[in-house]
Amino acid sequence: MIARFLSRRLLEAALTLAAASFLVFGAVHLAPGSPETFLLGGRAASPQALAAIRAQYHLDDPFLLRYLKWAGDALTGDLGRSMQYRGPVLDLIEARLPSTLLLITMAAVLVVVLGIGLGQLAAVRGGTAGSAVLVGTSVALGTPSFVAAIGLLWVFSVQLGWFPTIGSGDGLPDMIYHLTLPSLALALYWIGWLARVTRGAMRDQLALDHVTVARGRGLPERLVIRRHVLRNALGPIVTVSGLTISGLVISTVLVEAAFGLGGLGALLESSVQVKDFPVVQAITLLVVALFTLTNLLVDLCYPLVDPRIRLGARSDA
Amino acid sequence: MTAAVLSRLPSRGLYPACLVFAALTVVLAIFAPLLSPHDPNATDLGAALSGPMPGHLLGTDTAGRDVLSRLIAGASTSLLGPIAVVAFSTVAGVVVGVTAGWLGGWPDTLLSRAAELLLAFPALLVAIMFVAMYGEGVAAPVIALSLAYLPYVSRLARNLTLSERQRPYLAAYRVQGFAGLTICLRHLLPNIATVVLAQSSVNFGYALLDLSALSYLGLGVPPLTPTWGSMINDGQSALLQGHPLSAILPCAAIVLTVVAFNVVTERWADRVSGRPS
Amino acid sequence: MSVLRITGLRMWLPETARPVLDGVELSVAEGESVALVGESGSGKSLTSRLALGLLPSGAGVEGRVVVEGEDVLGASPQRLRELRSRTVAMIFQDPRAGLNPLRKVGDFLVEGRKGARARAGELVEAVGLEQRVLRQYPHQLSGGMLQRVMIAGALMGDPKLLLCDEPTTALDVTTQAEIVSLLQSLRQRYGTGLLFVTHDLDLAADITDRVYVMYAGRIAETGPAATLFSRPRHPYTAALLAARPRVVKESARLATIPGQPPDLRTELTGCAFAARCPIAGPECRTDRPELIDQVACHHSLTGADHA
Repeated sequence: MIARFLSRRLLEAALTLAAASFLVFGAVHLAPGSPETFLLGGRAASPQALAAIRAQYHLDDPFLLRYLKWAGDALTGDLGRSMQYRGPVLDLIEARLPSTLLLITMAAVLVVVLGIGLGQLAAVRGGTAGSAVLVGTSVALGTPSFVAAIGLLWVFSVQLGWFPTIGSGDGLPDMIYHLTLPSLALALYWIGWLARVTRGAMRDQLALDHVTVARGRGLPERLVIRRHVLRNALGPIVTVSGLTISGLVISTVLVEAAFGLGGLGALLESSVQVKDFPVVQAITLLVVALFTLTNLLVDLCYPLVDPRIRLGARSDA
Repeated sequence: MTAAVLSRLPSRGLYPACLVFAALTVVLAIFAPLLSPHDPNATDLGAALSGPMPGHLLGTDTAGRDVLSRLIAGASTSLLGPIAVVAFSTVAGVVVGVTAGWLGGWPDTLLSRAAELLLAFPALLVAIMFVAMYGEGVAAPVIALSLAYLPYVSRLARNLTLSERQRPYLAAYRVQGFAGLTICLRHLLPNIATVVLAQSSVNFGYALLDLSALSYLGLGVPPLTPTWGSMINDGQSALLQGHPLSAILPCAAIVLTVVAFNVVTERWADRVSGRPS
Repeated sequence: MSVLRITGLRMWLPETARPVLDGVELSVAEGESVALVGESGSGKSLTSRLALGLLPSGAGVEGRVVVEGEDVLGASPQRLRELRSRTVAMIFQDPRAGLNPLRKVGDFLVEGRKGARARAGELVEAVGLEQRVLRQYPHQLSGGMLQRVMIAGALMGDPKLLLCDEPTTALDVTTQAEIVSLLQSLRQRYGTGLLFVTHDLDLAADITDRVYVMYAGRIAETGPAATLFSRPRHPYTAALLAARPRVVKESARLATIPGQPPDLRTELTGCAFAARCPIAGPECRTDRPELIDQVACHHSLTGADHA
């Protein structure tokens, strides 16, 4: 039962990735103009240079062959060479990954802790606290990360002078300090998102009979909320938490621009500006792979969250 | 007293306030050229970064341009893009979703799987890729976002089509020998249009966020077009030097507009689909 | 001494024109079995839940709900939890909805009780299940088995009073009979008082000593099960008895009560049943009949009127 579920999900994820990579690769070739114009980024080049580029990128091979070669290389870790930096894309990504990864991790922790916490507050408490959270999530869902960045910079860097306005620091403690405001800016929108989902899922559970039964059996309210309401609401919460990851990753473009951080997002932005296609392709593929992977992980979590999936919803009575 | 007011605010006061604000931005956007006190692109380096004063009610930016005029001009670009995205994604999503739901079988599988695949790409990423491929201009990001939001619309349209197909009146038309296309256009579409449009309108806020993010990055909007995103980008250095107004005001414009439109469109979607708000 | 005594109970829900419960008087003696009968919406479930101190959100209550000498409505949250886990327990209509689908049966039984594993094992067998259900999840059991689990769960605290809110309605007929006989045998074994909330008159007659008939949030009539069903005095009780489906009957047509119960948006003057009552007089529409001598009716029937 569970083995079939796992193998089917793995196969689906692999197919999604293959199809997505085909889209990413094909998109460049669907674009107007010949690929080498893009690869050259609009610069003029001699016929010899053009021929060299066509040879280097195997542009004279059939499209499908080129895709397979590119995909095969990507699988072995060879993501091509950057036009802008004249080096392997993988090295560029590797150099920028630690700071971006730390930023995303910090933001993800904030999202999970504050999103679920505030959502629970709004679901359990009515009145002023609940309404304040509701209004707060509405505002958060209207605040893109770069706007949050501007607001945080103004209050905490310019007015209070607590945090630096630029740079990502050296060494872990310093990096965490430098990334505090950026991670907050990155997280804010998704905190609102997760809080809303948590509130909705918990309110759905609160209306169910089994919660009334638990209360009617004299269980302390704290336990009712934790074991029966929050525990049973975890399904949608886990799903949305998974979706959050790819949103966080792509939003690093904005936050890294706002805080002058040299991470993966900033690399994507500058690569788009100069049409450095191998880099754009590689990062796009990375984001899509991450999305597929987190979705897979979320699905694999479901049997842990819900025994009905683990044991089969068939009654053996 | 404040506690009582605050706890009633979400249910009572928020919706009308948002409706009024959304209507106000629409009016501003439509009559932008008439309402704007200055040319939004007229520079006056002598009066750069001045605070609010007569003649420049909301001050000027680093290049001495009138912030109020740029905010008003930015309203048109900020609203037009999301409206186009909602319109395109609705039309395309309905075509895909109704086709899949009506035909069933392998076309359904193919279209549904393709739509699911698109969901793996965050909207902002698709938009950035399109700008990279097609260069500057408003068209590329609008098409990209329409594509990115299409799966949400098509999934809804497909489900509605499936449940509508079960209803006896459509079966009756089929038995009478009406062509599938005729039934879809004349009978099915009018019945699902309101719900699809209402749900789709909720994407307005998301599109505004994504488009302003692009213009903040300087992607996709031709230079010299004032947008709220590019105003924030222009104003950021001034903010760091202690002149916050030219960056903070467009920030406030984005947040207020998105919140207002979100509240209004979500209320509409809830009402149309019979959910309690 | 009564385990449960409800006096002058009134309850309002938000945005309604009249109270959902209007002057309910009810008592259950130690070890006694009492039925609360009425149509859906008559307030019988609300009344029984109040014995646990469970209120719908936004409800306003006045009156007294005394359990073992203590007013539930004024009890502290801590005291209320103790009452719920030691003195009063409840089983609900739909056992599948009442059990958390993500928790094992054993965890449900011992929840909130330290060192109760052994007792859970005993009770599971007492309700006719095998020990292995303790390790199973609700979706692995049938509806009848789940209701047995619910009953075992209710008996964990050795309660003085068991509230049964339509405990057999969601089950099929043979299972219904099993659950009813189980409840009866458990009552004899543990001496638990029963408050049986049901719309099923035959069931009420079978297993209870006394019956309360409820209509539109008010008690219409009360009395020993035997006399109340053989000689109903309130026209509503009589109509209910006439409307009950029976297998052996010469006429195939079911008698129905004309009209609808009054809804909560309209205020009531006079008797709540007046609009549907065949013998209502003018005073029935203006004066509310009090519950005097076990019946609330201006024209209460005698046994001879309704043979």
